[in-house]
Amino acid sequence: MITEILLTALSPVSHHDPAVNDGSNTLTFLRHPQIVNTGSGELAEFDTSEFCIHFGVPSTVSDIFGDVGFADFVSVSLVRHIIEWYGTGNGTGLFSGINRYDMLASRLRSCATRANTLRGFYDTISRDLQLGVPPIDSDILLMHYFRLPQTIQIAAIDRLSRDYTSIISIARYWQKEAQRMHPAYATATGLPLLDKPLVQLVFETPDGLANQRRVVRIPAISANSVRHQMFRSPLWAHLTRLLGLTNVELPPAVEGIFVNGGNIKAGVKPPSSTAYHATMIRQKFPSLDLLGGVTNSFDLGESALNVHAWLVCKENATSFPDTAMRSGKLTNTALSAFDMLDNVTATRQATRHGDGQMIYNFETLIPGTQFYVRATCPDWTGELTMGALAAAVNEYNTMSKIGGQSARGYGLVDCDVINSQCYTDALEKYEKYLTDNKDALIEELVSGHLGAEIRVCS
Amino acid sequence: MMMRHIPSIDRWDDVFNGLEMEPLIVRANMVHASAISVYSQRPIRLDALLAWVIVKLSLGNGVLDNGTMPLWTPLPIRSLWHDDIGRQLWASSALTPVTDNRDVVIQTKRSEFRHSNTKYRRDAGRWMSRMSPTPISVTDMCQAYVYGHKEWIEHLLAHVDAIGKHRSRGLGAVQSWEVISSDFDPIHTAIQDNVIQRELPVRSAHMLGMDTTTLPPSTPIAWYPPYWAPYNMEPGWTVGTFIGDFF
Repeated sequence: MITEILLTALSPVSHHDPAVNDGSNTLTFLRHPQIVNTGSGELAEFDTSEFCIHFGVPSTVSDIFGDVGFADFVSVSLVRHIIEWYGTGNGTGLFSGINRYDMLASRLRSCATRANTLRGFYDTISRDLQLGVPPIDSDILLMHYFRLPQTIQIAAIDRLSRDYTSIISIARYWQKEAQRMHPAYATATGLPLLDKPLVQLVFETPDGLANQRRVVRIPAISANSVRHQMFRSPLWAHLTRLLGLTNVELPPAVEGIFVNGGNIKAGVKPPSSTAYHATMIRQKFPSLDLLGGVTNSFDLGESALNVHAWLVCKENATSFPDTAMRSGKLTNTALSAFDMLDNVTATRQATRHGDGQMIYNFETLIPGTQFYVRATCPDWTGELTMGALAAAVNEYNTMSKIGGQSARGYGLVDCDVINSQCYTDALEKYEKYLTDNKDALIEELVSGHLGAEIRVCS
Repeated sequence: MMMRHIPSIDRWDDVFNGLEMEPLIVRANMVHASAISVYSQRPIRLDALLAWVIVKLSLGNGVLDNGTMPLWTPLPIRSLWHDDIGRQLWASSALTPVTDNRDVVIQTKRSEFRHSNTKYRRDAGRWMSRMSPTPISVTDMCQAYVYGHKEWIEHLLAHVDAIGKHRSRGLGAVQSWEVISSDFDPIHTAIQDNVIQRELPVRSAHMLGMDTTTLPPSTPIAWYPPYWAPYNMEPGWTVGTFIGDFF
């Protein structure tokens, strides 16, 4: 049984990547890797030597590229040019001072994460490192990068976002060796002159890029987050409202199982017949049958609800089922996810004594962005459980938000159920079940039994 | 140890008895925007998926009890071998990603309690907010080899909309299933190119024509659904084990 919901952002959506901690002052939007069709036959006509002829490599460096692919070469070459153009003397912009390579590393990762073309990457890193316009001689070289097939550009950016530390080292070494080919530099530094000519590298094929299908990190909304915000949190709000739990104190594990699924207590031995107790609990509280959870000592088993959530964008256009596409409501499938990103700068005010002032940047998805949410329950799901699903969606409509920073106005969405399978009756039965059994259910919650014959939560 | 029987599951015996089996390739075409969470030591087993559907269809919304003996679960698949209590070594390989691009996504878990007492910490211990790294694989397709009944396998797989770990949190979404008639020997569902394609118990080695004196060391494995059940564990070889050029 499938419920399809379309969320349309009414305010910018903030949803940071929890794993990013790179020292830069930009919090990037969450990205997930996925397969993307990146080209339309352009690689078949592309000859890597047309690019390599413009980017000769010192003979002492060429062997490093023996085992790497063309995309790696492109990424190293571009970073080497950035070092060459802006690294003279004490550097330019933020690429200056003793920490300049730390700055370069953090900005490389951040900018490569945010860009989907080499031109976009160059623009972003120039801005983030405050580099300014490069020397006029560099224009022709930049054009060679910007003209590369999109598949190769995406692959090179992917390398930059993941292997930025080693790319910097290789690029820096390349730059040093290139400098050593100038007699004046060798004399001034006392290093031996490198008098062998530049080597033009040859890449037979664009390293596995031939099928034009690449793994790309695309801005994404976490289904884990959607599951919490759209189903678990509203269901708990619905339950507390119908049972009147506002002033009732509950054991933390009872609240935990409804709020976030709970946590097993360390060192506790599960009782015998956990399957029996789990069945009793799932029957007593259909919302736990829908969403699952753990008691002090055992898991309730597989939840009935599977939640999938995808950004509506060009990169995901093949991910949506025909029913959703036919509805005509998914209007953003021609837009790239990267075109929907925006940068926001926020400030925190200083205290009267000047403490705590902060300026920071983060990425958002712009208003009008759409998210497709698919909630599926197996055919054997009980009617009260489906009623709980309907209650969650209804309740979510009153508090529709997605992502983070909702206290600051981010993530407000319009919720449109584009396909649901007849659960109005189930909703009425579920709410009637809760109100008819209100006192008994409160007793089960307060005691920590949750419908089992033993106390399972404390 | 004996085989456990549940009448509502046993009734599938009548459905599957006498079916004509054929070599099949089963493909799960994945939603491109959905990665799959699968651990290499614990691959997705096609027979376990089908057994899960049979059990769920048989029990309705119920769950299995805490039985400690193997459960008889009929499947529309040929058996390669069976042990003395009747567990079948089904002729179906693991369902493995065709292209395997490994990565990690982070899932978070936070505590925002309002109705319970305040005698707990949110920065440590049981109720601490957490970030869980989840290994994933980005792939177009997962594929398995099976010797079974095409229509019934298609019918049962139609109930499966996601595979792998963390299905409820958006991972492993299946766009469509394909069951394609093929041409191979049933034994290829277990061993291909000297690499084990499904868990094999040591006890089955002689039947499969393997020379047990030259095989790699065994490890505790399950080879019959449910694969997580301790009562199904015994010495054997995991998927991906190279067994040499003797077969």
